[in-house]
Amino acid sequence: MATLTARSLTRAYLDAGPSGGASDAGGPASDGAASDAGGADAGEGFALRGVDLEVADGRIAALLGPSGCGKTTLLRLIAGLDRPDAGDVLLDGESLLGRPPHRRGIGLVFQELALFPHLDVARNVEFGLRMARWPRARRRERVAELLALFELDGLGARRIHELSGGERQRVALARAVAPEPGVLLLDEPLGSLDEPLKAQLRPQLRALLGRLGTTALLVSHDLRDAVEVADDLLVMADGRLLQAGPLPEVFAAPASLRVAEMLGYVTLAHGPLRPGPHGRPAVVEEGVGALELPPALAEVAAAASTSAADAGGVARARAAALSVLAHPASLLCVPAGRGLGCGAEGRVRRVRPEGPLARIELALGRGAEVGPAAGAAAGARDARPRGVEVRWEWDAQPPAPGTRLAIAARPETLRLFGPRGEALPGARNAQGVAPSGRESDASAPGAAPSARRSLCP
Amino acid sequence: MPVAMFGTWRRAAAALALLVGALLLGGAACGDDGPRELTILAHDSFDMDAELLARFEEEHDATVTVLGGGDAIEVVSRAILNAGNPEADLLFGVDNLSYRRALDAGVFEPYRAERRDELPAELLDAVGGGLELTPIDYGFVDVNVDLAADVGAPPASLQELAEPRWRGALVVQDPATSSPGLQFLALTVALLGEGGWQEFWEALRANDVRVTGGWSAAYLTEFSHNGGQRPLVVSYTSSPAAEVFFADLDAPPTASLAAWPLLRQVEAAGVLAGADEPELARAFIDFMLTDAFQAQIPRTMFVYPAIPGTPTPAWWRWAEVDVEPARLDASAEDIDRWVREWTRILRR
Amino acid sequence: MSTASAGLGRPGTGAWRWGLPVVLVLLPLLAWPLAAVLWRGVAPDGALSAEALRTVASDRFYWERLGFTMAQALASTALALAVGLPGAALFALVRFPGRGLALALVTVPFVLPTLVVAVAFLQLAGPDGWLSDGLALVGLPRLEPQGALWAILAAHVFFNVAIVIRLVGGVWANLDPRAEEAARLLGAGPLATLRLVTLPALGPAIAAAGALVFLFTFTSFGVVLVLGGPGLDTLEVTIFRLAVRLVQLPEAAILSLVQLGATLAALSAYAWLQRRAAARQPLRADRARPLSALSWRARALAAAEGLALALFLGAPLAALAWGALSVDADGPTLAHFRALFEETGRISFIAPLDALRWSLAYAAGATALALLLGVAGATAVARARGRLGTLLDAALMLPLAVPAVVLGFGYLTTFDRGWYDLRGSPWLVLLAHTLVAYPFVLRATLAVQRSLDPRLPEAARLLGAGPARAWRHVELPLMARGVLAGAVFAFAVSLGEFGATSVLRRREFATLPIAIFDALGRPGGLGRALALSTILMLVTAASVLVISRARYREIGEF
Repeated sequence: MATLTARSLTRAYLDAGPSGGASDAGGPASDGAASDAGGADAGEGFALRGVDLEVADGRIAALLGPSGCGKTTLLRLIAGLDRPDAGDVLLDGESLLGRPPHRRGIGLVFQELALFPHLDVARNVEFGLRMARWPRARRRERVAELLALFELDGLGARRIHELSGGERQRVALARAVAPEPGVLLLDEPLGSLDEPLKAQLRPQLRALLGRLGTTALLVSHDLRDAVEVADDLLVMADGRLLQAGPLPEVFAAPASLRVAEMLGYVTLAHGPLRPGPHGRPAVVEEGVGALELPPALAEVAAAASTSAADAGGVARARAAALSVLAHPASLLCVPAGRGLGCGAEGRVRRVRPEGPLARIELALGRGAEVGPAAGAAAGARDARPRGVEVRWEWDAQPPAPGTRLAIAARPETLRLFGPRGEALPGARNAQGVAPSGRESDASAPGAAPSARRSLCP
Repeated sequence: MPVAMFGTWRRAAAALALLVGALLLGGAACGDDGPRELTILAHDSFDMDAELLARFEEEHDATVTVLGGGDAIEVVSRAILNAGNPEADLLFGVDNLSYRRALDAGVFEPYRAERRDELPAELLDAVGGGLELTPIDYGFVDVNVDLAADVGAPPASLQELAEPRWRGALVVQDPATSSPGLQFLALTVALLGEGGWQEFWEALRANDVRVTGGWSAAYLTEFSHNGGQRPLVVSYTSSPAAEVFFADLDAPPTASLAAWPLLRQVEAAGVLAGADEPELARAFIDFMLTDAFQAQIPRTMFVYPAIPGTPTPAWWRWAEVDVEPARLDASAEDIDRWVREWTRILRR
Repeated sequence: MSTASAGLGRPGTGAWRWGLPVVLVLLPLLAWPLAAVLWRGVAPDGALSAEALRTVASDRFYWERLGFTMAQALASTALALAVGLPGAALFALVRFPGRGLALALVTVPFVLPTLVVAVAFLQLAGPDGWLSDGLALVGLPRLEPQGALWAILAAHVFFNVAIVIRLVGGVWANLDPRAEEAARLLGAGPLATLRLVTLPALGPAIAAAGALVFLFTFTSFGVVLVLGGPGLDTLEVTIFRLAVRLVQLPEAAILSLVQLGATLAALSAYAWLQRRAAARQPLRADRARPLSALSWRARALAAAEGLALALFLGAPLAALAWGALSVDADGPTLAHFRALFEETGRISFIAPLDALRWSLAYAAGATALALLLGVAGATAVARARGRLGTLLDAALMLPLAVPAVVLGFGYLTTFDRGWYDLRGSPWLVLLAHTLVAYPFVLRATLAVQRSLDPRLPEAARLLGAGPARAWRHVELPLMARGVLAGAVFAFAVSLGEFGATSVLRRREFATLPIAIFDALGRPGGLGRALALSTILMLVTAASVLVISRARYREIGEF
């Protein structure tokens, strides 16, 4: 068991690219030239730009990021399959850079599994043990044990192509953990499977990793993999690590607009700070309305807006738009015009029945007012409405497309982000108390349970 | 299975290095140990009794190695290629049409063979008359006719071959690739002269002459005696005797025409300049002129022994034809030019 | 994402580690002799001279040789493809009894010595051959293959059809049938599917096979020498004549350079096409279907194609064997074979068993060396990237492009002094065989190596295998099929090698092809030559079969 650390890992794209040094050089990009480029804020052409991360002993960490953000590159650098242009990889504080992949004690489950087609299941699992020169008897014992653990008993003599997708998955896992690696890396371990199988395998994977107790780093672009399998969450985009921490903490307090969006948050309103209908500061967006901020947020919002104005003058202040986000799971649709919502309103684009109730896709933003066609004709990109999917629990009769609806949200679930997408400190505070805030619901202003209106300040 | 050799790349590389090293050392070692080694570069038709050779080896405490080098022209080319640093000690097979280039390149060193005085002057002259070369045997290239083909009176002159009566009847060899082919071309030059030979070949071509790459394709496949369709083939005056010898017949089924003068193809031997074993090479030349060697020449190479009066086997009488020798004096450049012109004439 | 394909197996890594030893071996064995001869040609007096170049360029004769060489090579290639593609389909798509045997037999003509093939052709299509007899029966004139262009083309097709069948058939057998099925479902008929889906997918393989056939026929020597006539000389034959018979090394050198240029172009095109053809596709199970699963029409088609192929490839060989058996009209006897063993008491006697032993010894040695060179070379090419890879690929295939006589002369003039005086040594023959054999190992290995998933060796590395063990336990077993196929070709090519051996020959170490050549040149030798050719044919077929049957320990079906 071990703690895995990466320090400012930097790596150019492998294929040509603007930093193309690697394309003609004999081996991996020569250290000198490439680390220069990496040091001086790597621009385009870098897969990784100074990533720091740590996975503590025995923890399961999930690395979440969109395709192409450098996740696989990161895994390959850690595994030693590629060399970083700069930075270091450490296992229990000891640098791995000088060590070839087979001496790093790191296991990797490839996205495509990479099972050996010329060996049967048992020999696939046994491979690492043979390489480690375990005595034959112990090898056999260990293979039997693993096959049992991964519910592969009786499949030992099968060929890889005779297995189902789920079985292959488990063989790959068993093979990777057989030599007892200090750290296990999993590259989209469920990526190649279909959704029902994934849903079935996630808890299994979680249980197996838990039983093995191995430090594990799992890479995925699917939030559900991370949520159901991992202890810690690392969020990555454009070759940078955006946020890291225990899963609930990261979820509760996205450090930036980007992270929030990747975790599934949606933008309710995006615009300048103006006095709202009730006199309180509100984020105003044409086509959405004025979303009045709860007091805790109002203060930081005002401060952020002012500082932006100070820095850049009037023009800047106008552009200094703030964003209010919320997770759809915490939102409800309510009829518009009754003052029940938080101030954000949208037009029903589509209705998806979900049991007795429904899921409503709301169009928010300027384009939503004139309809999609007119919006497109207007041509401006900002004019295009964004979609927000929200639950409809008002009554069993879902609204018709085109109807205007308001969005209701608990103030504690709103997240405020500054003009540059940074989470505003107040917002973070508000979320920081979120878990305990649940019990202190009563402390919220106007806490009458029946008054939905009170959901918005 | 060689696949088993791949333990690791390093091991494989080491094995390869070892092998290459062993090859080079082995090659070098080859030349050094044991008795003296005489290497003969000979044309492909060279042959002799194995027992006789063993006797030579025993007498001189030497081993004899024969390198095959193609026909007369090709062995000369090889000797020229390695002039001064020869791969062999002795060259056998230089003939009347190839010796000039070899002499020009200075590949031989002179040697007066013990029995040189017994050799007829026309043989010596045919290969330049100098001490560099010692004639060993000779033959005549001539048109052979398949007696079973029932073609009536054979052609009485070279020119007659171009007449309609012999349309599609003759097979010749390409002088660019074949020794008898070149001898026959040279004969047409010798008999018909500049201008005349070109006309003759034009006419032959019009008369549907067939050209093969080598003697075997002509004689063994195109010649009607061997299953082909053509009753006339360019071969040797001794070929009918060889037929008798091989098929154990009473009389030959083919005949050499010998209806016009023929060019004597003399085959000679010479010591190569820079040889490792010049002494042995000289001894071998003398050995080739001994009665024992000369006597087995008809049987092993189907040509005439150079020493007059050498006893020959009974069946060899079918090779004894009256030949009026043709005379030809040609430089290496002349021969090249003939071949090129011939190729132009016969090219489609 | 794209970076996933990079890494340990990433192009570039290790290319030189594998390539350098190969290059270091080839420099003295190939580059040095070649350069020595060419230099002697272009600079006869030690300084570059343009005189030979002017001579060659101004002589229409040479231009016509180049034109003829090019034209006959293109025609041969087109014909070989036309004959070979249906055969490739047959082997790729139909599982019939004896398929493995048939595939091995199809390979036999390719590895037979040109000499034997020419003799076989004359036996079959000569004026007295079966074909002519057949034609005469129906009142048509007898065939005269000697000096006829059609005979050269037919022999070239006979030789090279195996390349098309094996190369294209191999890819075809692994082609994902779903694309074709999709096309059929979208309303394409069988022919439209073939034209619009299958052939484009096979395009690179077909082009690669074509390039290889072009290469072999462009440099054709034996066939043209035996079957050709005046005016039907390829460049290779012209070079041979200039060098060996006229000792005009300058002109020979210029023409060699021309030939090298043309063949290098073909090789580069081939290497480039191969690179494209090897878009990594998973190794799929054999898609061939048993005969019983085919429709009657398909069965009839397969049978017709099989029969045509068997006739075209089998008839000359059968004629050869028949010629070896029948002495006269009395019927078949073994007299020619018995004659082989009769001691003649002459030094020209080559004991057939000795010749066979030398042939097998050279072939085994050359195959072993060729495996080392070929596998290392293939790995280097596979790991080199972009243009470097293509260049390296073409350069490593050079032995196929170098005129044999030029290489032979190169050996004679470079390995000629002191400790490296190897003239007349059997080792030199072994080296020459290795040189002509290893490109086949390289090609076959490269083909599988390119289709190898680069993550497999990486997975092995992460499971604790060092580079060598990962290679040994994962890459090699997965490549084993290709390596084996290459070994088959290498072994057989060495068995039949004649050109280089004939320049370097020495009687005590005579191989079967040399013995055949020797017998052909002697009065009364045709029968023995036919008998020896039959033996060589059988030995070749047997070796091809044995080696292709051998299964590497760790390999199975996948």
